[in-house]
Amino acid sequence: MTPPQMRFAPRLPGAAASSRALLRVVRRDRLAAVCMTLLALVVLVAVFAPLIAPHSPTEVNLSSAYLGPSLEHPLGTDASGRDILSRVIFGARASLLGPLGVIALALALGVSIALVAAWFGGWVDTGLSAVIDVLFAFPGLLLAIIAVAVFGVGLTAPMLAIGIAYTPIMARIVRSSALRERALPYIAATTVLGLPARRILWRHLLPNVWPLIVAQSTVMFGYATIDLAAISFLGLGQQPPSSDWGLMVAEGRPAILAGHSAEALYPGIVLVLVVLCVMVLGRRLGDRDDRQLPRR
Amino acid sequence: MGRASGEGGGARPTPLRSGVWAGVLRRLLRTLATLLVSSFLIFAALYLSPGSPLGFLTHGHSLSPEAVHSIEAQYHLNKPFFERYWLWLTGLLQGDLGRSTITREPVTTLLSPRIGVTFTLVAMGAFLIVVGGILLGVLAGVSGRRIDAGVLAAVTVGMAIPSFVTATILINYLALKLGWFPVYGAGSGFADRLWHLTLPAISLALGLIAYVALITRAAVRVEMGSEHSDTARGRGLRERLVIRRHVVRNALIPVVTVSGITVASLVAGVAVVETAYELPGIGAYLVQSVTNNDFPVVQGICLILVVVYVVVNAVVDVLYLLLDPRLRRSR
Repeated sequence: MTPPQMRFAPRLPGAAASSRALLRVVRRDRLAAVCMTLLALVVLVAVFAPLIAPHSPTEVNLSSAYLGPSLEHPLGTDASGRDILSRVIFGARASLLGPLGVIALALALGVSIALVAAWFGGWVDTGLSAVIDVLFAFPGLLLAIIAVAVFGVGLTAPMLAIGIAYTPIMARIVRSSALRERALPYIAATTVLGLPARRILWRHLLPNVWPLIVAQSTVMFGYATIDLAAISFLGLGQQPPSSDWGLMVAEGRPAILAGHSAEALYPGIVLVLVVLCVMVLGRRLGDRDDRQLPRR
Repeated sequence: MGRASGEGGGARPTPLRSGVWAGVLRRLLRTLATLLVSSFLIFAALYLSPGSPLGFLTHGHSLSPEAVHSIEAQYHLNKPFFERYWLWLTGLLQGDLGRSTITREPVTTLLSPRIGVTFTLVAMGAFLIVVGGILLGVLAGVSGRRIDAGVLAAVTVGMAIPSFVTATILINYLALKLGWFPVYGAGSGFADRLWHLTLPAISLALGLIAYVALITRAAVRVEMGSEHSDTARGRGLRERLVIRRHVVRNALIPVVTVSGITVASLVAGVAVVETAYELPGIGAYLVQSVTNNDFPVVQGICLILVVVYVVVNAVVDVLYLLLDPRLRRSR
């Protein structure tokens, strides 16, 4: 444990602090740098998909179904003759926007619950912890399936449901960290100075918990990507002709039996690579947090 | 994630036994409350949906007033909301999950032939997770840098692979190209069923094997460097014995908790794996029923899955209290 008097509140606001932390990790760590580069590339590809993709992702051409890899179609074509590479490229948009929404929701809800619970303590804490306990009773994927049953297929309902399912995990982690911070002298100092609770939480407590939140959100982004792709795979999320990676795997499955595995395999492999990079990065950020604190 | 240590209680020295049982009792009460609230949420979900429950039950067809009346009576739609919940809940306790709106058969009749497949799948997955995860974790924890790094890399990749991608790869290579395993279906008879469910169980377990391995490795690392292990080595015990008696034994306490939580979360994964392998279990049936708007079946399956999830989690917490003598003294 760190001697409390050795820790100070950094002056940086949250966002700047976390992007600096990211840069520091990437500069020291080659694996993290590779992952960061790959992810940046994927994001660029998703943003500029119409410029990069060689073909339209939805253009059907039945006479060129199941073509093998060629210069024209680097990954071949699917059952309706659509270019698989172009579909994977456009699929990055559908596959990555959803998890972003999940994290935004889990972050907003989880962090607010955690900070309020940690700050006020007593029955507020007990009540909020009880709510969190009930939320824990639903695994994310199951909650998403229930949400689809109630509100119908699509991206929105599963996204919100998984965000809510991730909230208690975020809340628990942030709460315990915020409780630790709360006991430190610098928070006592701000209280003595008579600062309002809101200002203490936002300007002093949150920036100190922030690195942990960033690491946790990154890892969660990986899991959210998997969960949402699974929902699309089940046919409950994004609908055709979307080329969400999970949906592409599902649509490519029948062709596997006939020996055409390209449509099912490539989006799956890209999905795994993206999730792998995100998780490695998240883990490294978390490690940094553990290693750095005692030295400060 | 420290779930078991969640409930309060500082380092008050309480009499040995009563402390544990108070903790166990508190945990059981909380479990009951959680079950009650989640059953309510699952029931109320139908009424949250846009459109009337009647529209759900008739699938949007317009019916004669008599037919509407009989449906209302059958599903108690003419009664107040909380009375309906009460009827549903008491029905549940008597093993009545209502009737499917598609086939009109009782939900329990529809689920009973499917539940065996799911149970076998989850049991096989749980076995793989506990055995594979702990073995890998201990191996990485006690080995030198090279093996440790190798296991760590494999584990990281394992956590990043969604079960449906594993399923696609395994079907494509092991089942179709090499022909070692059947492609789809659940098989009949005990041995045949195990053979059919091998690939599904691997797909289901892979990510969680990795997770348990990671936790075990960390726990083993801590115990390897602990004072009691050093003392054992100082007494001249062989390293193998130190590892078996002093390191692994202590490291397993947190691993029990994590394995339990992990096995509980298998419950949600069955929907994906059963769909990928076209298995006739309740997970695939849940997805089908969602697509068909067969709400009583959805409610029934969700309820079963949530109950299993909550109860396994509770059992694990209680086990944790009972397993670790140190907690007895401090509670």
